[in-house]
Amino acid sequence: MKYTSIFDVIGHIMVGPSSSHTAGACQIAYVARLLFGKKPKTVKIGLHGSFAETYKGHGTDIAIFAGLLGFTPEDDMIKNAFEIAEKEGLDYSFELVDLGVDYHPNSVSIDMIDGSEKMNVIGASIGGGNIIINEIDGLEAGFGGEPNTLVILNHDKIGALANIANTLQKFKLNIGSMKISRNLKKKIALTWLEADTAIPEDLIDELKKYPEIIWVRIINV
Amino acid sequence: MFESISNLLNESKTTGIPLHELIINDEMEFHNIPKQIIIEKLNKSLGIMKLSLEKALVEDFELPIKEASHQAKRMLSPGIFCGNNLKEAVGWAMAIGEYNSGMGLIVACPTAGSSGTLPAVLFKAKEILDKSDEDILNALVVAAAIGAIIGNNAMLSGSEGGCQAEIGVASAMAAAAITYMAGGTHLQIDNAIALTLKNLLGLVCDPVAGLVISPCIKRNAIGVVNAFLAAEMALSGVTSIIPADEVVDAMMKVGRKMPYELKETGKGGIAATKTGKRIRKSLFSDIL
Repeated sequence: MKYTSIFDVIGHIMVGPSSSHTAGACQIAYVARLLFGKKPKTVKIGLHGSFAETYKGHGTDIAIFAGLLGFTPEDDMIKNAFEIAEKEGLDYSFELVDLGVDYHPNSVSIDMIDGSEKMNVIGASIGGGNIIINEIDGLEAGFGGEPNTLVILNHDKIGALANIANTLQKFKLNIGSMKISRNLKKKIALTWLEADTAIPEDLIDELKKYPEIIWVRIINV
Repeated sequence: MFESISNLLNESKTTGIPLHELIINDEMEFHNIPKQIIIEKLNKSLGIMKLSLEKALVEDFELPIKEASHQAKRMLSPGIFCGNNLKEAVGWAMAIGEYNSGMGLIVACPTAGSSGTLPAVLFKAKEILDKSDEDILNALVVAAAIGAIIGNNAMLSGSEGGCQAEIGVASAMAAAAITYMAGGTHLQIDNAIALTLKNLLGLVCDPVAGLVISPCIKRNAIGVVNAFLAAEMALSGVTSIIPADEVVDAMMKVGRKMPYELKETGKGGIAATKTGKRIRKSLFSDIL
């Protein structure tokens, strides 16, 4: 059964005109910013497929700026995102890209830069405002915008996963699902997991005590 | 969620529990949330619907397809053929449709493109029937459950089933809601849903330039008229030979058979007309 709740049908509050091309686009950018961990100073946005073809009329570009500025799809301020970005001095560039046939038609590649810190996130809007983050800095990902998601970049070492699992246990969090992708050359791994209940911020400091942890982000949207 | 429309209606009929209570009880049990939270969420959706209508009627905005802008307010004059009530409700639905196309904050019900139909019908019916805030909330609950059941047994998006699965469903949700609000029987509600869906069966999704503007905004107008018509017929005792669940099944099959060009790709229907193509070219000439 696809729709189990009445709010699946009358509970999605969003800025129009399109749940996939506006709300979903905003959500990808919002999650991208959470992954970067702060507001970027410079952004490069690459629109792929249907996003590239119809972004103008759907306000896909504006929605992405809004997400990067920290607005969620429910925020009425979305339509003013360009002006706010200008005011805040966000340096941006914008291009139409072809990521290839392996990518969903509603995909966007977002480069976020602040000084020496850089991150690339590729995400797709898969319908009805639902999204999936496909790549972070070339590492395969696969999580959506579900609440209670924990994303960790770590050095690919023995015991890294055990330390993560132990820390979650310490915080009495039950892991609902967990996945890992690796870059064998760089010896780093991306770990993402979904917990059954809300993940407290203190968990980040606890995890950072382990030397193999590079960064930790809580996606709670 | 209830498996079928008849399943929901029969359970209410045999237990004597009003439809909205039955649906809220199901929501509480299945999702393990207290009634108070459900009521809060319903009020939130209803509040945004109200706000979107209010703002749509006063704010002035230009749509990417200029020719499609500023149409709704023209319907806010006395009726010539339609009565004033019907005409105004159509104007409201179009106004929310325009507001959505202009990046306004709306409630997708069931989708963003069809977001004008249900609020316009609900608010106008409340006014005509002089009902309370609680009554409109109860009607909204019924609308939502009908939408979810249709979504589970057919589909709720133009890309999967054409516009029948967007405006068609929005119209059926609205018809069910106001038939319930007016005190219609279970059979009358079933008839209202069946009549609504039958009238829009096979409707294609053919947005000009792929944008949620044309014909989407004005399709909300037929969604409103169709809902009032079906409710009026059902409440007058007109029956549908085919029960609602069977019409939903037919809708699902028609939707599956619909060619790709007519399912939100902007490649068929009015999108593929001479004017439709010209508009597309004028909007996207720099990136085609």
